[in-house]
Amino acid sequence: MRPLVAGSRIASLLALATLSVAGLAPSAGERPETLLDLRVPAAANAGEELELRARLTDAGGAPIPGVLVGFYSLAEFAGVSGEVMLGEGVTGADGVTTLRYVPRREGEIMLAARFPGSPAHGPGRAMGTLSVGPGPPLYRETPWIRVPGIVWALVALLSAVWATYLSVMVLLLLIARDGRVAAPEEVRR
Amino acid sequence: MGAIGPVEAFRRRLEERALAPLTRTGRGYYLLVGGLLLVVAWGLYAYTSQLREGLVVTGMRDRIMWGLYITLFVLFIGISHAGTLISAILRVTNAGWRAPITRMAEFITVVALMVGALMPLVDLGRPDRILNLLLYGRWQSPVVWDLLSITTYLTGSVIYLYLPLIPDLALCRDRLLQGAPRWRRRFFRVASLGWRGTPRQRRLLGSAIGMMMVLIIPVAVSVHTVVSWIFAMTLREPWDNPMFGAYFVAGAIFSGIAGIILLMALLRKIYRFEEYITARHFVNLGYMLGAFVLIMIYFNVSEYLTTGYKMNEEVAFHFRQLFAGELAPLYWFYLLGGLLVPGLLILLPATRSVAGIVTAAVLVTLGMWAERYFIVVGGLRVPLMPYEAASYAPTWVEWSIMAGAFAGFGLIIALFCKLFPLIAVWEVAEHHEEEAVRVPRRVALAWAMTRPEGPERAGAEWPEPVANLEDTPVLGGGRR
Repeated sequence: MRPLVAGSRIASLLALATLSVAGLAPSAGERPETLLDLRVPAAANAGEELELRARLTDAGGAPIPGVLVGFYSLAEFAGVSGEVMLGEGVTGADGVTTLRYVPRREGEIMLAARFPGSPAHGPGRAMGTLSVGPGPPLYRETPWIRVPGIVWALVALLSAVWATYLSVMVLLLLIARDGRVAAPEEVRR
Repeated sequence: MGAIGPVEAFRRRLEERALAPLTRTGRGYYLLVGGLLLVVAWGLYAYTSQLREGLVVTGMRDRIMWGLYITLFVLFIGISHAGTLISAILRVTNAGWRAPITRMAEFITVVALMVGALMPLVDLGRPDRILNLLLYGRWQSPVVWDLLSITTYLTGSVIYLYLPLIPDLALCRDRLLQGAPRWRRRFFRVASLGWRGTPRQRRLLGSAIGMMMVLIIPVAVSVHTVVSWIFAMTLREPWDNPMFGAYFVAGAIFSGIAGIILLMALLRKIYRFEEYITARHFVNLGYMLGAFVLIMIYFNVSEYLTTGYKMNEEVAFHFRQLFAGELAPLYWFYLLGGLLVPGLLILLPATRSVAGIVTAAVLVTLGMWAERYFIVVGGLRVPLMPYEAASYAPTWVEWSIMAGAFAGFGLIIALFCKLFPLIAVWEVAEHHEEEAVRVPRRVALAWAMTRPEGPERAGAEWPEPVANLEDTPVLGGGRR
């Protein structure tokens, strides 16, 4: 129990420290401007893996390292439009972060990178357009579990059932024939 | 004409009683058929308006695209298990008491399948597109499996209904000569296949029934399993459930037993079959119903405990809508009215009567309708993306078609009553004959074991025989 208590105390102190820093930090209006640059390949095919590259700098062009930048695609579905998050990355010493991305449909895809801002830097946003051409089918054509000959086994099973029905029909024909040829002493009705 | 033995007297009474519905028709029957025809016509009118204007006249939309029709489909396919499965199981296990009820059970199967199989067609906005299923259907699709299994089951059920009917059709052919219309005499002559009760015919019929009673059980199980797979093959809460097949089969037998009890009670009352369908039949079926109450409770607990323990977002939504949301009235009615109360009615000796068991069967049928509804609609209400849950309310078109389907079910049964004996005369007679032989043997054995020893023994007498076996009839007529 002791480490847990200690841990929670440390967390409380950290939260207090963060709040203090936020309180001391300049407000959004006063924070220095940032520039976000998003590099998107001009064209690609559906199913092809690409690299989206975002670079975050301050107004003077100096890279901003160690901050989280999100990548989004703009989508519309069932009358609702918005940004669908593709992934996030932390900027390196050069202010650059990248994301591996596989477009899954043809056409123009609007992409965006967004830096929400930090106590020291203002937010930044950049957009780009990716033109996606046709690619191979992306759905899996074969089932995950493949039992060789399962379809034929089922067809055989079904055929066996219908063959039994057929043999019952043959028995009915025999019943009808016996009714015609039976000797009077055999008749019980 | 000499005196007849009790077995022969029983047989004559049985024939008279079983054939009476075929020869006498009261005003009440015509009123019933007229009423049912009106409801069916209203249902057909509603369907034509759906055909004319499209599915927009229903409450179904893009997100809840299955509603009352698919609920009815699952319910009717379930009720269809009544017959064949129960009749076949009782035959396989040689449960003699089954004899008076098997015909009704087998007939419920065929009628429920006929009505149930129509429901997916009604559910299609363009029923002509059913041909696409035949032309372009893929083996990987559960819908194709469903088509195959239902067709196979319907065919098997018709054969299984027909086989034990043959000696009774011959009985109708021989007994209903006077006053019967020509078409009817011709029908009985053709349908009875020239049955004359010869030893070879009896042997052949026995083989055919034997083959079908064994085969029809796995076919019936496969049908409802495949019906469940239409749901369970999707990644959707609460359908994404590996035990859905077993759950559906249990539910089908459960509702099937309730269906038989209801039909049995109705026909027993109308045609005065009290001598043949006794309280014992109700109690025995009541015990089966009670056993399935426990099985259904087990499945429910198992499902909700395992999914609730993990409680992902979709499960949480489903639980909310079932236990306290839009579907809560139906769910609690199913749990309390469809499972708990019927269970108690059967469990408590005071309510374990014909009336109590029929009440339990009514509740089970309503409860199972509710269960089918919240499985179908509840499953589609669970949002798969972060948006509001869709809602569904059946329109007058759907309610009318549902009423028409139930009326059609009743109408076919009413017509059947006028075409075929509702009780398997030869089976009941044979069972009675066997009992008549067995009982004196049992009495004799008991007498031998308990007769006094010593000087009183000489004076002890054998009990009176129950039947005069010299005058005992055998299958298809004749004398021993």
